[in-house]
Amino acid sequence: MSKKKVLIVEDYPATSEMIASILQGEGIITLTATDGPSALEKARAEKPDLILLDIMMPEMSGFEVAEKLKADPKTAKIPIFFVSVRATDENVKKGKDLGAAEYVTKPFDPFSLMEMIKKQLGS
Amino acid sequence: MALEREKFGLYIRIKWGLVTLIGLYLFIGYPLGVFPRNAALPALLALVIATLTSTLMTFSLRRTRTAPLLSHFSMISDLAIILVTLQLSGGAENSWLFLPVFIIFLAGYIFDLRTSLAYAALASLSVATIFFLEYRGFLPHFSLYQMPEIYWKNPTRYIGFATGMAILYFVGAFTSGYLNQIMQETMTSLKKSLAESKGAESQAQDSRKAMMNLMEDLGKARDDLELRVRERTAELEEAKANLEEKVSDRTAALENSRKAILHMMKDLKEDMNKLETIDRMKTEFLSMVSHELRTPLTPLKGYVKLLLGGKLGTVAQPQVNALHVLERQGDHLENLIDSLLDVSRLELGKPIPTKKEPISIKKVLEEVAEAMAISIDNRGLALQMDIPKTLPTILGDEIKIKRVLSNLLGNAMKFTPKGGKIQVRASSEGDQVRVAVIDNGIGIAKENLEKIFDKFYQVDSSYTRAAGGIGMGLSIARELVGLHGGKLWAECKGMGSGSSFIFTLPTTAANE
Repeated sequence: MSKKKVLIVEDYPATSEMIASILQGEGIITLTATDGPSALEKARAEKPDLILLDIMMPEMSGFEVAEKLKADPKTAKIPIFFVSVRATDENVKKGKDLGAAEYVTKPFDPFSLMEMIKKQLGS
Repeated sequence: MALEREKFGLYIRIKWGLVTLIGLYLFIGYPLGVFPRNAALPALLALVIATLTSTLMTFSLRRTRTAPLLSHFSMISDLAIILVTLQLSGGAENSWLFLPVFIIFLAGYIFDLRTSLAYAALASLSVATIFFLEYRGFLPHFSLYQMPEIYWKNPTRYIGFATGMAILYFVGAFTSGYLNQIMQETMTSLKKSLAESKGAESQAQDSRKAMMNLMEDLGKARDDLELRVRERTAELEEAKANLEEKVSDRTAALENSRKAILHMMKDLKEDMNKLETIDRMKTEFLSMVSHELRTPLTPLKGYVKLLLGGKLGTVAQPQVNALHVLERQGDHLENLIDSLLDVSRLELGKPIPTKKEPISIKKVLEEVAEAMAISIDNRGLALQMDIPKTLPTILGDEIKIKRVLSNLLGNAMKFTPKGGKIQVRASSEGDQVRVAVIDNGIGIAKENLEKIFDKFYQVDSSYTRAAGGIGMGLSIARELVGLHGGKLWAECKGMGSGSSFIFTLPTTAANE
């Protein structure tokens, strides 16, 4: 079984580092992007098994990134987890509507996030 | 009377005329031999007497008002003088015996027919008497022309002469009487007509005068009316001008007021818009801040969890203890940030996301109490849990209920001095669960029992600083309880006797 690849799209380095450190501990390859355009680029190039997507980012919001990913046949099938400080029902619904597998609110418990990721990658 | 006086005056003037004529006749006729010599002396005497009486009468007339009496006196005396004089100058021989007719005539003229007749009778009788006495020889005869006695001493002549004189006298009397009567009648009628005409004239004049007066009055009235109309018109014009001025003034004032009001309204609207903008900005800022705060909190809490979970290598017990403190403080920070977020949501009118899951209130109470036990203990306070063995579940958001409870406990801790006691008492009441957090701290003044639920309200700001709170806990707590369909309120028996915060939540059964 080849190593799984997860793309972490997060403009706050400490958070992405923290997430990366858990995933790496589990033997997962992590890729990081700090904004939407580079995230799209990396997604097309690397074809990760999962994308953790922040919503509030400069230039392009996570929702826009998700739309573009789903619109592109190369990336349309990559599952997406939204990870956001925005916890309203409205946002959660929007995220799910865009085809996200999960919607995680910050601050999150790293262990429960890990469980969700493992579950997703295992399926 | 006046008339008789005038007539008597005329009589006197005629008499003066006669006296003058006879005097002339005497003084001129005597030297020429025309005047009878025998008659000269009596005539002179008579003239003297007549002159005297006339003078007397003339003066008397000026002084006295009794003209009729004076007239009679004069006429009788004149008659007597004439008769005496004539008797002394020939008697029946003297043809001047006609002279009394003047007096009789004048009597009729001055008085009336009756008086003239009386005088005529008197004169006739006097002449007849004199003739008779002379004829009989009782009176001497003074011859005028030295005629023989046979000539004059003749009864036929006496009677004839006397009769002739009497007829003359009576004719004179009648003539004068009638003339007088006619004259008087004429005068009366004249007077009457004059009076009438005068009356008519005066009436006419009166009417004319009245008419004139009326015209004058009418003219005056018209002038007056015109003047008044002019005055009134002027007044009205002035009033109208004033009114117009006032109206225009008032209109201008109104317009100004309207403008001022519009301006004010515009300002107010602007202010309101500004305020709304500021308020929205504040709320948005609050929202943004709370989101921004969550961002660094994520790696913070994450790493603490990872460290505690041994994912980043083994950690010794003292570090574990420290990490637990970090973890709790991180939770507390998150709680505060959530409160802020909830406030901003409330302000923006956005719903606070609340889960609807069946939760055990007993478990929630115990977990919160356990989590806060150390802090309570550290503050030197005692915590007493008074919870029945079984409590119905409620439908709701565990995190929110925990937040409410920890808020109430936190408050109790803040406002209860060292050595105090905090009691958590729960009970099931019908389809509701009732939870009370009771302390024996400083308590709450009655007037503040409701105020404390206002946003950012703290009974005394000094407590806020000392306790490090943000003051919005109770308003959020009440809101959160409300979202679950329950109620939150405070009770206090008085300052210093502690306070109770009670909230109720409907059970799951009640929700179904």
